[in-house]
Amino acid sequence: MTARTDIPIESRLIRAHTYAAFCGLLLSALFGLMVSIKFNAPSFLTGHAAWTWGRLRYDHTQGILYAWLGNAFIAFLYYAVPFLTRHPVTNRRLGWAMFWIWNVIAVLGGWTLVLAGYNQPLEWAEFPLVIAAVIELSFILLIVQFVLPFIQCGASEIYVAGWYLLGGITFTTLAFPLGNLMPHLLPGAMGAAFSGLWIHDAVGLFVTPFGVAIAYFVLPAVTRRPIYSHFYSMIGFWLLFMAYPLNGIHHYILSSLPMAAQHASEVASLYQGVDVILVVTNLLLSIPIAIAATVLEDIPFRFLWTSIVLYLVVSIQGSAQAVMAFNRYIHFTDWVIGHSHLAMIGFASFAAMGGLAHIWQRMPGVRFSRRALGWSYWLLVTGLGLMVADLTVAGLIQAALWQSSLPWIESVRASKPYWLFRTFDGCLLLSGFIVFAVSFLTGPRNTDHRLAVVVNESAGAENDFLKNGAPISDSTRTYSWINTAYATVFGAGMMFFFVSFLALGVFPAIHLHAEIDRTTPKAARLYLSAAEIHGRDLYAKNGCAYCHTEQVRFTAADERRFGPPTQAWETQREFPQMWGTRRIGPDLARETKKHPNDWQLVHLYNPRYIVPDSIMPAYPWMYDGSPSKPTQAALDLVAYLNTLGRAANTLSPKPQPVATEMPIQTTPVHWDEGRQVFLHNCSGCHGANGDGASPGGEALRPVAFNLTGFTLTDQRIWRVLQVGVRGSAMPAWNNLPSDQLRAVAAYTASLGQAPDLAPDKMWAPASVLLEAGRRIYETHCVQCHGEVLSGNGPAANKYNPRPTDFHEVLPSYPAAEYVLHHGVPGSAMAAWPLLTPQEIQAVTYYIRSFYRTPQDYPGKHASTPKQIGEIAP
Amino acid sequence: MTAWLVAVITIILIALILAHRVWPVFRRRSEFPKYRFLDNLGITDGSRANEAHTGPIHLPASNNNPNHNQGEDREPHQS
Repeated sequence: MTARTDIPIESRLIRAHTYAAFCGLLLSALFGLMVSIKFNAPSFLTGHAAWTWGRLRYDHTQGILYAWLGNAFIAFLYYAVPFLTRHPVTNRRLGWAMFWIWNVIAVLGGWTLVLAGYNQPLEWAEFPLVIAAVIELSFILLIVQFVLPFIQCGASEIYVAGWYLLGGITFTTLAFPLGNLMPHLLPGAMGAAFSGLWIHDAVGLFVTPFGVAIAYFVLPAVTRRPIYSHFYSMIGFWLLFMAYPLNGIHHYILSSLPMAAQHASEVASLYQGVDVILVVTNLLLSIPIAIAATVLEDIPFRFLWTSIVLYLVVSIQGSAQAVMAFNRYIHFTDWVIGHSHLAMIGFASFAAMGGLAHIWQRMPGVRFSRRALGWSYWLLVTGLGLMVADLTVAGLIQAALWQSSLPWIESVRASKPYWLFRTFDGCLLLSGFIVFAVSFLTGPRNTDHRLAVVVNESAGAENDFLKNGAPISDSTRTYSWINTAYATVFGAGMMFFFVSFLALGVFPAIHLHAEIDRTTPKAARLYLSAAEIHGRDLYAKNGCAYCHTEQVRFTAADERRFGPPTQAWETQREFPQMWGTRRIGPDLARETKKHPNDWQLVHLYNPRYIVPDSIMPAYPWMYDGSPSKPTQAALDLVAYLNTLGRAANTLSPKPQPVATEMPIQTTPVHWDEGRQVFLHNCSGCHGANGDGASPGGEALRPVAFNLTGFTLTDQRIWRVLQVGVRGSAMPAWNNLPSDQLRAVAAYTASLGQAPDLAPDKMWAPASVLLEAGRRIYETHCVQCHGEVLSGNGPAANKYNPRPTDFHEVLPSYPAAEYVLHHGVPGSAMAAWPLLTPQEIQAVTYYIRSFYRTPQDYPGKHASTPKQIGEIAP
Repeated sequence: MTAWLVAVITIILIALILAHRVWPVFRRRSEFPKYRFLDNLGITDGSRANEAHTGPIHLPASNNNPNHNQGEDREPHQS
């Protein structure tokens, strides 16, 4: 006697979550595209805080995780769970409540709050804590809705896709609060250990299980054959849940986290690669060769097949990236961004798309276009392939440049073509996503009216399989044994989760706590002022940590470029930690005293004002209309930047750069090359013509030097390029290659035009001018510039930058007049508005007479005016 | 600690693999869910009990699942 039961499937909830997934996918991809455009056009959408790069980046990744994949997975759960359990989901009303909570509060609320500046700088946990609490509640509701039907089945009857769904829901519910909450409770390195766990668990315990579950579900439905081995699929499942949580710390390889934990994550990552080989082999062996070509005509399955293959590729790539020898080169580069796009689009999104399309074909009353889906597949495969190749190559180039001693900006310049191409790839991907959504809204309509699981049960008998395959008594014992074994392994899996929490979270935290206690210098100033804390909040909410790491790693390249490695004790007040996992801009862990405040303020207002090739976003909304009018927010943010590395620098100050001897030029210096170096590196402050008339240069204090109004000796130029000008924004450029340094020095020397005064312009004979100039100088200037004009007067030591040494600097008459009328804002040089034009001419005449004379040159006497022409350049 | 964790994972999995290899009923039983799942999908086949533990089996093209798209866009291997 056979009883037939129809188990309903909540098709309206599937449709609702599918439509929400489309909205989430398109908006999240749009956020990503905007982020990508900002790499090429950094001034794009900079007028308002909400559209700044960091906040859009937060919404991009959170949107992909929750708005797109979350909805897609939930839609799939509504379809799959009744087929896997022969039971309906727990409650339809609960389903609708979850739908609104998930989409309106968690996703829309999260996005809005992030744009409004309420967020947290934790990778894959950027939504603020209040939204994180709602998401956690949703995960608990997911357990009620979808796990209860599984409990009604025997453990040994659950198909592997069900196990992955069970594992995904329960383990994510456990891991999610750890990643969101713990970094607020544990600072710096200790918090980073937990952040690392969640970064990986978000992919490993949320995205991956659902993706693999979809593969295991759809594959037999399309091939109409069972999978190759259920047993080995279960081995893969347990291995994933036992090894994956151990991977977390591989995001902080070569950091100050305990080396044992780093090695643990390294080994677990390799183990994980082995597991994925097992899983993918089992899946691919489940596609019989005889029908492979035919099933691949099923376009939803084509998505899925691609997803399975890319799962293998991205996992092996991930395992390799965790190996320290490789990690030291490619970590923080675009290679990793290519890897994450391969994982989230190539594996997870393709799996979700394949699963949704598979479901949609069976949904009553909906439209579905295979042709559009096919177009979407090729657009996405092309876009993704190009993007991953592009970012991988960009990453390798960045890695090579970071190993060199070239300035950081060189890696930005080298990456620009790749970032432009990435935007093009992003357009292809967005087009593919749009066409994918279109395929669900066009095409013929399914005329079925009902969706249900049809179960034919043979009453009073064991399953056919068992009857034919083994004695009832034997199979019953086995059934019991397997139930017990599976329940035990599930328990072991849960235990492992907690063990991983202990091994990679608690254990490093205890170790670090002791280490921090032992190594923190007593004199270290670690507390931040209220303004600095406010600045830190601004830094966090605008996503600065997503471009600038705050950790110098224990690698030779990092130490050479940024300074001593970041020790655990240095970040013990960082709640939450902002170590970062990507470097688009340079590391800021040693930022203190690297640049003066005026440099930071102008740079923050518009980075191109200072660094012409910078792609950093501008923050004009922190100012009242000009870089010289910062709001308190900008001042506080700069105050925070000055705290980065402050404690270590106070105890062990950075060595000041030392000027080297100017090299003897053995090869010709090319003026054009010097001009190019100047335009790329110097024109931001000094202006394209070198006259200092640039928005950035004029906003600096002291203002940028007018290179056209003064002639400088070669030694002076060389020394300034080597060590910078203390007390000004002029940095040392000693990391430029020597040929570039020589070229730009020669070009700079050619800019200065300070000719002698034509005789008809002199208001008095030279001897009179000289004497008048001497008297004026001794009255007004000698206190700072000194008796012999070497810039070493009695008051000189009070000032930075030091007063000008006129043995090395020859002012032109117009430039001298301008300076005497206006002073040099931001320096000790005051305006002298009461000096008459004749007095200015006289004192300029006198000053010029010292140019290129020895430092102890006593000055010329009025009786020897003829010699003046001889000393002019 | 790392070594212990990896060792425990490995031992658990090796124990399961050994049980699977030496215990035919276990082997058969552990493959049961994949056939049960096919049943749930509406894909039935009486010969599957002869399947030892792995590999493809030949199922008739019957399908009692009424929920496939009946439109002209239907996939070639759907019924």
